[in-house]
Amino acid sequence: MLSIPGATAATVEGTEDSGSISWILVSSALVFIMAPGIALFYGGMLRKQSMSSMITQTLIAIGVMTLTWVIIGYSLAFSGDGTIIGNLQYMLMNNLSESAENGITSNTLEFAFYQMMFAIVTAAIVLGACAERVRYTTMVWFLALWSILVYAPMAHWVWGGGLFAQYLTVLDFAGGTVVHICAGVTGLAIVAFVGSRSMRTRSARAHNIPFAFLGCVFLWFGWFGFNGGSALAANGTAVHAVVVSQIAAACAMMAWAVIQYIQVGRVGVLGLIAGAIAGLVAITPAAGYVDIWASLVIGLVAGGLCYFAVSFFRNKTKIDDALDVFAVHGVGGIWGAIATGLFANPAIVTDKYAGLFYGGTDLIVGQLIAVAVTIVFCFAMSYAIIWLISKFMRVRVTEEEEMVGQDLTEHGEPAYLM
Amino acid sequence: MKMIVAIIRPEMCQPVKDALKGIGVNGITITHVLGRGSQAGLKFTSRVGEFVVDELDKTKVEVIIEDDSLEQPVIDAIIKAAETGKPGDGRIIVLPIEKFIRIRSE
Repeated sequence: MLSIPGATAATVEGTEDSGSISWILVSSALVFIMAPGIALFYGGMLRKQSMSSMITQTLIAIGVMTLTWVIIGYSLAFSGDGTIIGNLQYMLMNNLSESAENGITSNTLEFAFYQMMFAIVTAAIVLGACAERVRYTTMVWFLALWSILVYAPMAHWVWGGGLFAQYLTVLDFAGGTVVHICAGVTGLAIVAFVGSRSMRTRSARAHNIPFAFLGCVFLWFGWFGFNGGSALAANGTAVHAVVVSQIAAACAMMAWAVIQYIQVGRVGVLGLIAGAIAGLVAITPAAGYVDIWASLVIGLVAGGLCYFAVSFFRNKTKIDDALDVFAVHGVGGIWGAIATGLFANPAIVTDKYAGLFYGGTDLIVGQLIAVAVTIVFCFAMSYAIIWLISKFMRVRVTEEEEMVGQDLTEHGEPAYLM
Repeated sequence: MKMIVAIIRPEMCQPVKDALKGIGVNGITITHVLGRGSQAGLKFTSRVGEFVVDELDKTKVEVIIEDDSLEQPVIDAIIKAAETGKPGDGRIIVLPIEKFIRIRSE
């Protein structure tokens, strides 16, 4: 997909298409609901002492990411032809058009708004990895810097005509690298810096399974806008993306269920929802480029792969990724990016890029390099940001604060009366 | 007969259960409780001043022993399993029992 993505525009260039405009507006709203969905999803999986802390963090992520995106983020991501970063042409959303131009069927202001939702959701996903130990004010500063130093360059490289578009053959339909690998690796970097939670907090169980389920449903629901809207038009590609998203999610959930049943002897809500999310993550970069049969494969592999990734990170490493953000979003996103390089069908891809199974090798090489660059860049930069912040303020909650919970110690607002 | 009531850290519940099982005590009752110790809760400082959280999560373990000679081994086992050395490790209370009736066999 390109920065001013005409990728699949079926209509005449420069003609306003009210169908596409309304679909992207609806998609933006669908993606937006994923952020509060994440608050329920993550909050439900944590202790009851962390529920309103997770809601507050998600809300402030919406605020911070909206502001930085409007002021400078969008401009840095989607302007100019710089390799590393864009320019200030669209600062404060100046010079954006409210009518159709440049070959897209909607308009640039709408595109900027839609992309804003992606920035918000990516930030919200990060919160799950480092939950229950990073101070609230630290997180606010982190997200503000991260949105400009990590998210904007990533979006520029993949969609804004920067690094990846200039030097590599890369496809990322709806943000496998920009959103999921980036969020997973960022979470990992924060966790690597601040360390684990106490044994008590780590061993606590999900306090509200229905909330976690509800949050997952919001995510699944929003994902239709996340992937479907990334066609940037109300057209066949959008329909294709929505359909393969559903298929991959269901396949991954089923694969997770089967493996968990074989390994543990029972299946539960938390496993099923993690499986569904893994499938949605994996199909994200591939949604507009692969056949229906490939989406079945992508989903099935995603479910199995993420199951073993979660169990590996939980049992074999000391990393305390609280809600398996890296194991699900990171590993799922890496698999999805590789799968795009394997299964992309030149008959579907507008630019005729072919995956390995269709005889192309450039794409798979490009995808692998892009994944590696994303992992290294997001980890190093996020680690540097949190290190820098630690020079100015306390980053971690104390052991006592962690025990009592951030709901009370930081916000004074326990989610429940008892 | 004695009843031994231990109020411990929640994360120490499993080690205490294991330790009791290790000395042959299987029957226990566990309750999740809220409370504070002699420090009267934890004091935190925020931007708007100090505040105290004085309802901390604790776990109460109740054991009834029919043989009084088990009293000291049970106490030792609980202390060994639940001690961290920091404030908040809890208390052990030993009570006499007036009657002890098994419901099934009466």
